[in-house]
Amino acid sequence: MPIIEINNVTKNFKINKIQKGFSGAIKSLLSREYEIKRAVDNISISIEKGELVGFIGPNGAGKSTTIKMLCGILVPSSGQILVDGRDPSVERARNALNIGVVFGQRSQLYWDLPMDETFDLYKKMYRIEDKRFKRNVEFYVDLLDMHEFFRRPVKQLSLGQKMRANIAVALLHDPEIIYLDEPTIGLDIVAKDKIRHFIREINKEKKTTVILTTHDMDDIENICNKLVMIDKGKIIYDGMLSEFKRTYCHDNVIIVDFQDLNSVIEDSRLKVVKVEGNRKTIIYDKQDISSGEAISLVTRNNIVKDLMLKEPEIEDVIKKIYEKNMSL
Amino acid sequence: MFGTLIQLLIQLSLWYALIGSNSDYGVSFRDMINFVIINTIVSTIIYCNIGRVLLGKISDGSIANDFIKPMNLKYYLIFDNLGKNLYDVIFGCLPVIIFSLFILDFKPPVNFTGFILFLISITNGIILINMINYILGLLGFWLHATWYLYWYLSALSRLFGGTVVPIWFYPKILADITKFLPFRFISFEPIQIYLGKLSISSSLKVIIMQLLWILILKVLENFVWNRAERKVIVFGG
Amino acid sequence: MHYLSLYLEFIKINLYSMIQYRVAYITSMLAQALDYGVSFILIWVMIYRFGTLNGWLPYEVMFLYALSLCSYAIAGFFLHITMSNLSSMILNGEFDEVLTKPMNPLLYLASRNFSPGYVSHIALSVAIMAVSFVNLGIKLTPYKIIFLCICILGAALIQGAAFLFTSVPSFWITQNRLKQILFHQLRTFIDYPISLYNQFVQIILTLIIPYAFINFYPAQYFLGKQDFLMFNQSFQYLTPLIGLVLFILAYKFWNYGLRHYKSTGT
Repeated sequence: MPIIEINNVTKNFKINKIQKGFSGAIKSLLSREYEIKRAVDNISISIEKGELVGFIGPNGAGKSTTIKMLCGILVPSSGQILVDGRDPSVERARNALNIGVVFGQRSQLYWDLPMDETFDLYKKMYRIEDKRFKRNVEFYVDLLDMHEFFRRPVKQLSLGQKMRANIAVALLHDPEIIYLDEPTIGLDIVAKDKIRHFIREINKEKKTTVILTTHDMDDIENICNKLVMIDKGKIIYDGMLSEFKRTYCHDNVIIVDFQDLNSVIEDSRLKVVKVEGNRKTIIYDKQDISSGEAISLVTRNNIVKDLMLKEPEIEDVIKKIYEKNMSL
Repeated sequence: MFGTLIQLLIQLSLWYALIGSNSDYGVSFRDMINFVIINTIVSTIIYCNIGRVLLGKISDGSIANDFIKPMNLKYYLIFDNLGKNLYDVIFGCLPVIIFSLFILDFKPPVNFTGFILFLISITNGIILINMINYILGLLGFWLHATWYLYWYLSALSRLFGGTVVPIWFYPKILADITKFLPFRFISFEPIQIYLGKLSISSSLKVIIMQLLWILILKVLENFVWNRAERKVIVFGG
Repeated sequence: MHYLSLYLEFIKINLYSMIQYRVAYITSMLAQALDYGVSFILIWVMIYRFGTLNGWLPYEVMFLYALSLCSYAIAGFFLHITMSNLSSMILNGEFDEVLTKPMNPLLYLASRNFSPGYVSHIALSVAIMAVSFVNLGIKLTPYKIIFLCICILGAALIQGAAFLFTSVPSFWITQNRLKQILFHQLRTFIDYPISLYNQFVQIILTLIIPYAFINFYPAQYFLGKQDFLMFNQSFQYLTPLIGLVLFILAYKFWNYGLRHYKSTGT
């Protein structure tokens, strides 16, 4: 039984049509004209317990609308949502006990006090038993390496430290599902790493289901095993991340520094896309020719000084998919 | 917009209940109506927020950006405030003005000379209140203090300013104290001039007192500014 | 009972925050108390000169103002910050976070935004009430004191209802200032006994937007006055009931606004 089920859900918004010009403004005072914006269009998603889901889409695609419906903040116009067997908009508070939410750079912590004061408050709010509370606090402080600044007022912490503390707070009550919205935005690479590692560990230890909304593809690559893509209110991909890469990410890249300027590549499967003096950038489709064969072809008749092999970037693939979708 | 109208109605009911048709108090109900009407408009014109704005900038640190040219900041704040007041006078006071002219039958009771003196004194009043507010802001700088300074100023100016309750009705002790403070010279005295309650010589004395206070405040301002300058520590977030 | 201990936890954490900045808090509370103190002095000065205000002595009017201030402060403890920030919270998405908590959203907001600073207003107004009773030679029995507290709480509920009614429209429209100003300006009418105003205003303040029950009618009982205008004597006891009814209505209105928010977002 999937832990999250979204069945044929549609969400419509009424947008006031603002008429142009002065006479338009008068008209809109007298009679309101509405435009129906379909933010989410008959989508169905099912997520199993313990999955690490990357939820991506361009801005305005319907991502945040979907997340809000899952949290019980918005009510679907039609269709059904079940989170751990409950309808989140009907049983908002009960559902809230079961989920953790982290919103990007926004902080849940009390500004002037050390984070453990906020922890105590949340212990009461989420009715966490003493033993479990102590265990979790120790576990998180350890795993997130927060010993050093645990008792310092939150306002004195760096962005990365605040982010770690916010994630810990959201997880104190061992929620089954956590929603992370841009959790690594604005962080340096070390902090990003710590957080990604933490999320993977939590998922391993506690089988927490993770829904990650982000524009950072490295987050997705490092954390997620499932990918859901939404655009213009419709789901355009829903499946395993590895499957996605296999299906869509064909173009490998070799960047070669040749000895001679006039190096020649005599295979139609290898396309030279960029030339900078002795350096040539070559693209090939993994389905047409293997990496090994491509490299041997390149080095066969030419003297190669240096060679770099690049895996396809998810980001480029996704950009292409968005662009293709826009023209549809 | 209707806020000022409501205030006016409350004041009118209040003074009617207090004075009614009695003239025993040296001030007639008609006088009070005039006072209230003029006071409403004058208080909108002279309303000064630069103290609060300045204190706000200090407490959130944005003063750092402005500090590069502090002299310009002062005039920017003053003129920005005056601009808002003009807007408020035109739109906020409009219902009051219409109401007063047509329903209350308000007739300006003063002659041309008096009106000129009024204009001079009200200009001085505006200068005074802006100087006081600016000094307040500078005090905030010097003492690392914030909002609460404003409450002190509000308390003092309401108690000794004579516009909530006209000084005509003050007990002698209180009225005497107001003579040694600048607050009554901000709007109460100019309003008196407008209402024709002062002779020309008394009006001139008021204007002289205002100029004297402007001088005193200027000295005070320089003093606080020097102290504040030495203690330039800007608050972060 | 879980809510009670949770609530105490919120108060504790807010007090801790306050202690971090205790100097600022204390100076600010003193300054505000001084400013309100001046209001009381001015009332006294004004009425003393004329003897009475429509039959109300200076200390009686001060008592009236104190009742209004006290009930406003109690409501303000819980609702002031919430209500003035509701609009911006909705605009920047902070309100959504409130809905992800396992608590009643209004209760959460009232707890999170508890403003201890209002205690100075309460101290001042209680002091003024005590001074007024002494000066007017009124002796209070224990029953009367209990009923006074209940009336103050009832009045606080009316003030709280006013807070809610004026801010719930933020769920629909973003620029809410007109209604807010209107409601708050309307409240200044009760700074003085409403017998001053014409009958039309008295009816509005009694039957339509019952602000007069905050201080005017209960004051009759405690000050031993009979200034009931065109209304029934029983009105002097009605404040707690009116407070309860109004607050329940305001809460229903809040829920209605919340439902609307959940189906339309921003």
